[in-house]
Amino acid sequence: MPSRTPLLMLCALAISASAAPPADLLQGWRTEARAQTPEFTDFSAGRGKVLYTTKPSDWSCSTCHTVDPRNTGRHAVTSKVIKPLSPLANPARFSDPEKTEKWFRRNCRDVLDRECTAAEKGDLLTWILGAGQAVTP
Amino acid sequence: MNRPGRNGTARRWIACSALVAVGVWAISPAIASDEQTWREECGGCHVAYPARLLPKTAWDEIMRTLPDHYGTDASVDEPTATAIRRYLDSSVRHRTRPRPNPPELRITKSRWFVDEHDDVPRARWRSEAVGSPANCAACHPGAEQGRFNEDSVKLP
Repeated sequence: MPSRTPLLMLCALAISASAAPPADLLQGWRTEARAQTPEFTDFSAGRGKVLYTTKPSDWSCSTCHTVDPRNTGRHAVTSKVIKPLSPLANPARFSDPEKTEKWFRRNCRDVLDRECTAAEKGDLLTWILGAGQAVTP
Repeated sequence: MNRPGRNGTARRWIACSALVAVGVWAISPAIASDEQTWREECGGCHVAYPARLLPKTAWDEIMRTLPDHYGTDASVDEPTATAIRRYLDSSVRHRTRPRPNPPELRITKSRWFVDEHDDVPRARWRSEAVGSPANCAACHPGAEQGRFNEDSVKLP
């Protein structure tokens, strides 16, 4: 009788293909940040918090996502309700790498007028994943 | 006759078929329809405004300027843009009478919108519950499904 193992493996692969944990994103950005900046060591939740709340233009991340990414937010112009940014409150967040990179591209351009670096993305996600916990500056 | 081996095999095949079905469902976003793509991308920051609310010339200009979409970046990759344009072209109303040139790009500034909402006090648009005329869903519960019937309006 032919082995059923390959078919069972295909089933598991199909299920896992569409989602990736935030840790995978962080690992990818870590590698990229080390290549871009030799002095980079690792991500910092403290830097992430500063990035999240600083308002270099009319907006900061917190303008739409509120000061706590676990909260439901609201679009600053359209008033559309925005589901929580944090995976702690909304498990779907940061599970789709393509979607994550798209929104970072758009929203970093909105806030910073440029794209975020890999280090900045990692800092932000590190802080978001730990929101509510004490952050060492 | 008792054949436990064949029953076990059937159960394993049923279980695997169920797993494959779940897997197909899980990857189905990769093969989304043009309408699903339009709804997800154009409904991310506001209601996905139905194509019938603006002429084709307006949608063409909006799609051309997505990196600066009313002051924000709404850019998409080219395959996504193509899918959205296909959906808009298939859904827009084609009118024969002349349209303004350049086209009015804001639904809320178009003559029909202003006429339809001329009884809404200005202060209502800026209220906490509404925010702006762009927030259709504040008063039109069916806005996400493209329903704006006056009979179903619920003022907050």
